[in-house]
Formats: sequence, structure tokens, C-alpha cells
Amino acid sequence: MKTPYSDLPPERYWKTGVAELHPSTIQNLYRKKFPIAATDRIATAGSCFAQHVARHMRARGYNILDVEPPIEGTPPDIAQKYGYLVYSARYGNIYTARQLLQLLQDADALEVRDEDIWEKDGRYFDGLRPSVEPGGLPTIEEVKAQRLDHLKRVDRLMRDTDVLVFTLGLTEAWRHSGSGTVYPTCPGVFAGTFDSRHYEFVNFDFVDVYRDMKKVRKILKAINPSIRLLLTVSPVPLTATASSDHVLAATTYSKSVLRAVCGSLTKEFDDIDYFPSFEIIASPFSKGFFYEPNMRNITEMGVETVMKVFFSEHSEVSTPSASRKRKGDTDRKNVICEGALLEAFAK
Amino acid sequence: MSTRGCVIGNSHVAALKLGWQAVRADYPDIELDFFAGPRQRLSKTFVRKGVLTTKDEIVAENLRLTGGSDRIDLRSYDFFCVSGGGASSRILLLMQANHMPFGGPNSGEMYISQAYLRECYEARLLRSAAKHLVDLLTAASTAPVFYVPDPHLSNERDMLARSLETVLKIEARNGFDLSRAIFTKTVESVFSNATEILFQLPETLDGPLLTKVEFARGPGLSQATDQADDEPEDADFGDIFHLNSQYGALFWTEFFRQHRLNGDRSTAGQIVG
Repeated sequence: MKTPYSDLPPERYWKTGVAELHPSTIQNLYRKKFPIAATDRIATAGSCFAQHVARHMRARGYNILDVEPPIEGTPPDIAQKYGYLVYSARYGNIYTARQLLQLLQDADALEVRDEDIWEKDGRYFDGLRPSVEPGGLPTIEEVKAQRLDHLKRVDRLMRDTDVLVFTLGLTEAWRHSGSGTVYPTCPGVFAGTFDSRHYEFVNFDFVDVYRDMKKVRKILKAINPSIRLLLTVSPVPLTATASSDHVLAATTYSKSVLRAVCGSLTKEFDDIDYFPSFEIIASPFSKGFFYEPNMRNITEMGVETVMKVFFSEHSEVSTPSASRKRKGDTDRKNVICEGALLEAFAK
Repeated sequence: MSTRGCVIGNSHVAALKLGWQAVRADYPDIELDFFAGPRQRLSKTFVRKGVLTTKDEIVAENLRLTGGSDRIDLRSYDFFCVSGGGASSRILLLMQANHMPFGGPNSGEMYISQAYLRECYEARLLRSAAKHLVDLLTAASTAPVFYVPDPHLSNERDMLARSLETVLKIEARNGFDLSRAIFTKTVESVFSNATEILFQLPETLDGPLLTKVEFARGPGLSQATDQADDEPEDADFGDIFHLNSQYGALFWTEFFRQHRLNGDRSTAGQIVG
């Protein structure tokens, strides 16, 4: 008697789809929902892992936008140090859906809040992207001017983009209790001062992230009706958790929420696709094969495997420049991750 | 006994050579040799057993053409003067064509921090032919090594060529004071191993970062418009200073007024009465 499980292709069975395969040879894991053409303008944003995706897409000739390019000829290490050539704009890592939503809202309103400007040793930092000026700026006015300029360029980016590739990284964040603004790092790590009267820990749940991402889509569609979103979930575990859970449990919670939201959104909207980089790297079938010995950083083979799966569906774009490495392309060893800073300070 | 100096660098050496021809009669005890290679080419030189030379045939030809030999015996000189070769304020100004530090009117340029601008400029200087030469000479010889940065752009609009639009923009924005400060600080830092950095003489300047036209006029603009594949990206186009003997003569007069040169780096900076 036939059942719905009879005669399924090999990838539908764990044994033939996973267990009998080497992690680097997995097939048919991803089927694209929409094509990405050579002419499509692509914006990238998200957590650390998104930097790998951007780097590989750019190297293969995809049209990755950059609305805040460095001074021509800047050596890549200096460009990265100041937040250039990392994503399509100089927003630094965007770890949470709320952060992305907030950025789009700020770009729309051209709003800069006083409480988001942090001070350290007489220098001032943009608390919403504190790593892009490692030494800070001399005045609050300059931070505001840079941020306003950045927001205008982000607004233009989102209007001009055909596909936004966004990697969701975390559910945990630190929030200004007065304004509700969330930050990419805990105040006091890069700059600013941690004061529990002003800042509170938040761990977003499914409903929060789902709603935030729907709002993100709504804002984007309002200014750019044809935009599509390609979502991924970062397989990089939390460096540390501020919840009361073990960091492993906290990581599992965080990634599960993000993965579930991606699943729901993909089901709900034709213009949102999900690419399973998280599954390739972090699921049990890879047996930790794609992690560095610290079980956190992703090996180059892991990134290559992820991108191989991606490009098996989105064929490589062939352009004269595709074979040449773009000047200033970022190197995988230079992926910028504030988490590393936390780790360096860990006892 | 005469004092022997070696002047080496890019096309700006030409102005120093012409200037020397104009004043050499005043210095019978000084003998100078001049070697030059265009733009950044002298990066392809090295020192072996006290002799500066190259394996690059084009550079060798440049050295032979300008100085008569492609082997420069460093032991036979009492001092060295590296001229031009990359410490150009023009590069710093062009870095601000589409980017600007905060302050002054913004016509669509991206804001950048002064720290970032300075690091970018420093990176350019660190990979310049000038830095290469100063490093080679200070390592290989105990004689004083002076560094003369590339001259600033002319204040005459017709001679600014491709730099004109940017120069006017920066001038209108906030003047050249900030660029001058970054230029000076960065050159001082990158060439700190030189015995002394000889910045452009005040009497040749118009404001902080431009040259009075009478010290800039020469044969006109260098017309290099295309770049050979093997040339560094910061090859210096639009040079305006190749053949101004007036500038060169003033330079040497001031140089020998200020320096007693006896082949000893430790006393080279002495100012003579």
C-alpha cells in the first residue's frame, strides 16, 4: 500500500538525505523561490555571518551595492576597521530584527536620538554602530552629522535595492529603557557606560521577531514595491548570554526563534526566501565539522559549502569583473564581529 | 675636500637639478649627483653591498639617463636628498573628492573622520617610492638622509588640471588648514627615520597648501594620462613642478645656509650661524 512517504526523492529521507552523506556533499537542500539576476541590485546586512555571504556573492560577480564606499585605494584592513566594504552601507553588524526595523524607521524619519550617542575618554560614538569609528569622534555634532549622512544613504540603498540579503543573528539585545532603542552591543563594551537605570536586557521571542520582520517588509515595500528579501540565520553561536540560561540553551533558543520566524515569513510571502546556511553548518549532520576548534567561528570550508549550495540554485553570474577579486574585498579572517571583543574580556 | 651629495627621487628632482645649475658656482666645495625615475618607479630598487641598484631594465635605464649609472655607490656620498616620490599633498586633496571630514558646506560628499583620512593617507605614503628610498638609504648608510616632499599644487587654476574641481571644493568648504595639518603630521610620522624633512619653503607658498605660480611654472603639465600596468595606482599624474629652476635654486641656497654636511648624520641638522 502506498503512503505519502513512499517513492520520495532521496533528500526527503534522513538516511539518504543526510546520514549517508559527508557534510560537504549535501544536495537539494535548497530550492530558490525566486531567481537573482546579474542585473539585480543586492544589498547585504545582518550579523557577522552575512559578511561571508556578501564576500562570496561579490566575488562571483553579483551586483552588491555599496552606498558608503571607502576612499579609493584604501587598503582593505583600514577600510574594514572603519566599517567600509563590510556591508552595503556602513551600518556595522545588525544582529536583531528590531535593529533592522529601527534603522529603517530612523532612515525614514532621519532621526538621531541624543541618548544613542555614547562617550568614552572624551570621544563620542554612534551607539547604534559603535565599531565603525574605533577611536570615536571629537564632538557630538560630528557623530550626528555622520549618522544623518549614513541614514540618508541607507534610505537611498533601500529604495534602489532589488534583493535585500539579511542574516538574522540574535534575539538578545540591550535596550534603552526610555526610548526603547536597541543597540548592537551592550553599552560600556565599546563605549558609553552601563547603567542599569537606563539600559535593560531584552530577549525577543517569536512574536516580537515575527512582527518586527513584517514591519520591516512593510516599510521596504512602501518605498520599494518590487524589493525581495533573502533571509538566512547565522550559525554562529552566542559569545555570551545575558539571560539566566546556559549559553548553549540560550543559543538554541535564539536560533530556534529566528529559524521559525524565517519559516513563517517564507510561507506567508512570495517575496521572502530563506536560505538554510544555518542547517548546513549547525545541524547534527555536520557533526561540528564546519566549526573552528572554539566551536563558534565557521571554517572556510563551511562557508564554501554553504555558498556551493547557494550557487547550485543561483548560478554564478558571469561578468568581466566576476573573475577578478574586487579591490578591497574583505578577507574571511577579517570578518568583523563584536562578539570577539566580549570574548577577549571574558574572565 | 669637497662634500658630495646624492639627490634621488621622481620627476621633481629635475627642478632641484636645474636650480643647482643656477647656483653651483656659489658652492665650489659641493658636488651633487642627480638620479631620477618617473612617478613611483624607484620602488623597484634595492641595496646590495653598499650599492643601490635595480633589476628592472626600465628603472636601470632611468638611472643611467639621469645620473649616468644604474649602480649608485652609497659609500661615496656625504649626504642624500630624497625628492618627491609620493609624499604629495595632491594625493591627500584628491582623497577628499567624494569624502569630507566634518565641517563646512557639504555638497553631497560622504562624511569621514579625520582619523580615517589620516590612516588612508599614511597607508599611501608607507607604500611610496619615497618611503622605500628613505628606508633603503637610512639602513645602508650612516650619512644624513634628507627628505623633500613633493611640492604642492600651483595656485594657478589653469595648472591644476584634474585636481581643480576638488581643490576649489575643499577651498570653499573649509580651506586647506585641516589638510595641511594632516599632511604635515603624516609626513613627519612616516618619514621620522629621515635625518630631517625639508618641507616646502614658506616663500614659495600661497596659503597652507598651494604653490605660488612663479615657483610652479615649468614646461607645463606632465601629460601622462595612461598608466602602465606595472605602475602603482598612486602614480603622480599632473605634475607641475618638473623644471622650475627658481624653486630649485631657492631650495639649495636655503639648504646650504642651514646645514653643515660632513658625512655624519648626528651633526647634519646643525644650523650654521
